[in-house]
Amino acid sequence: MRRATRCVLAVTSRRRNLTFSRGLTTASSNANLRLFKIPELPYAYNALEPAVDQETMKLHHTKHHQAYATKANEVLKELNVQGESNSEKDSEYLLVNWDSVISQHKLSKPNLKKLKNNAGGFDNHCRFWKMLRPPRQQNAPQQGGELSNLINEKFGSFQEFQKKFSDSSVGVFGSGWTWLVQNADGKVDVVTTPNQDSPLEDGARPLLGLDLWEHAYYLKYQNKRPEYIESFWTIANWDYAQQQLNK
Amino acid sequence: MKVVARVTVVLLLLLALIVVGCVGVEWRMFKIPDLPYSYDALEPMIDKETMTIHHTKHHQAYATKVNEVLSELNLTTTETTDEIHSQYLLENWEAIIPNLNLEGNKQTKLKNNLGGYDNHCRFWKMLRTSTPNNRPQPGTELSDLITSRFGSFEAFQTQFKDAALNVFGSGWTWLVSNSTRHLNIISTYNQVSPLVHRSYPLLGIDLWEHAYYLQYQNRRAEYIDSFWAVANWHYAQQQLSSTPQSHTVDLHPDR
Repeated sequence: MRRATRCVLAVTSRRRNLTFSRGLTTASSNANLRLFKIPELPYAYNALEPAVDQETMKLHHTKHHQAYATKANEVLKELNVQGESNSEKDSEYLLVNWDSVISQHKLSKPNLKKLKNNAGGFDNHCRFWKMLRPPRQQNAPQQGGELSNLINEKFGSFQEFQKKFSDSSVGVFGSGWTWLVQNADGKVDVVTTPNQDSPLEDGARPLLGLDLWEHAYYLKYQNKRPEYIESFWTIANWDYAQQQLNK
Repeated sequence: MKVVARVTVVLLLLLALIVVGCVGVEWRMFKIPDLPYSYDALEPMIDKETMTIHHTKHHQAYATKVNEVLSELNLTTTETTDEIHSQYLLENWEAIIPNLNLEGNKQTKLKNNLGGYDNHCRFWKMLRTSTPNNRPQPGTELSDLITSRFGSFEAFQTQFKDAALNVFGSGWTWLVSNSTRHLNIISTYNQVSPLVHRSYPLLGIDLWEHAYYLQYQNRRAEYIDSFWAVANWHYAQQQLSSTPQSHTVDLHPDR
């Protein structure tokens, strides 16, 4: 019931410039679906050193992200989806309109789960690469900018936001993500999702995210997750986060 | 009348003591057991560095976090280094937890880390130094039950591997027995223990990435293949023999 409500809300939302349910039509549900192809990284595999090591970036991109695309495509092919896309537009469409898209197909329970998990994984990682950038000191959103103001409004200060985000990240048990999101009401928040669930499913726009699956940090940090979280602050891409506002 | 009143009070006090005695749980602090072998004993199947970190950091962290919650409740008097106590708590969780007055997130912290502690105590014993042609001893009850349940040992291995490959995120795949000696392959997520499903773990494989990433990275299938050489079938048979027996007919053997 909740998902159906979300879907309707997504279509009728009056949020500023909302094109959340881009392309939702009553035409063929495949009209906005294409097979997933992983995008290139916007930087070299070693660009995020020393925060994230080259070997991890390589494996994370060419093996894990690729596997999500491959597995999602195995199911999409059964739906006769054609064409290819290397952006998250198609996966976003699928995740936001999940109930209505899958109601038009007869997928087995295991295939539904396989598609949802792997479409989520594909989507999350497409964004993740853009949510990171080569390290810089004093890395923070532009002071006085809209994002900075929204953060201060919600958390009191940038430092308090960082603490909330870090604490949430430490607290994720098992595999999952921590996100800075913008909700339908325009305000920002810190949320976590398990496994490869996406904040999109809850009507929230991901601005920044941190992959807390062990594969994202284990080679360099092993069990030392707090150190990985600390390093994230030097490579968080605040320009991207700002661009994602109000989308 | 005074005598009646006094006797009633005494009887009531006695009753209260009996009730408290019956529902009272003995709480202990959790200490991780030593491994039954050295850190490099499972090479080349599982590397020494993984075993060291898995035991001294991850397993230790589960114990530490359980103890953090228990310390706040001021309940513990002694220490325990095996899974007998954690098993009791996990099996009787629903009855025990309401009496603790714990907020939701502390309940979750306790349950998650208790499961983690218990699962790992067993996991070290479910592994042994690598043996070629490793399988349950023919003619043992476990060997017979596996054949009758799955068709053959190879068929069991295939099913187990499929289940293990299908675990999305963090979790475990187990060979379990229920109380009527019915075997099953089940997967649990995060640190959920089969015990909460009244399933008794005979063998298990930890599929959290920390269990294999240093050596195998994304190649989980290779890790599962290597597991067969180090699975401790002797321990699994022991566990089967000591599975609590139920004399009622199990109407839902596949649950």
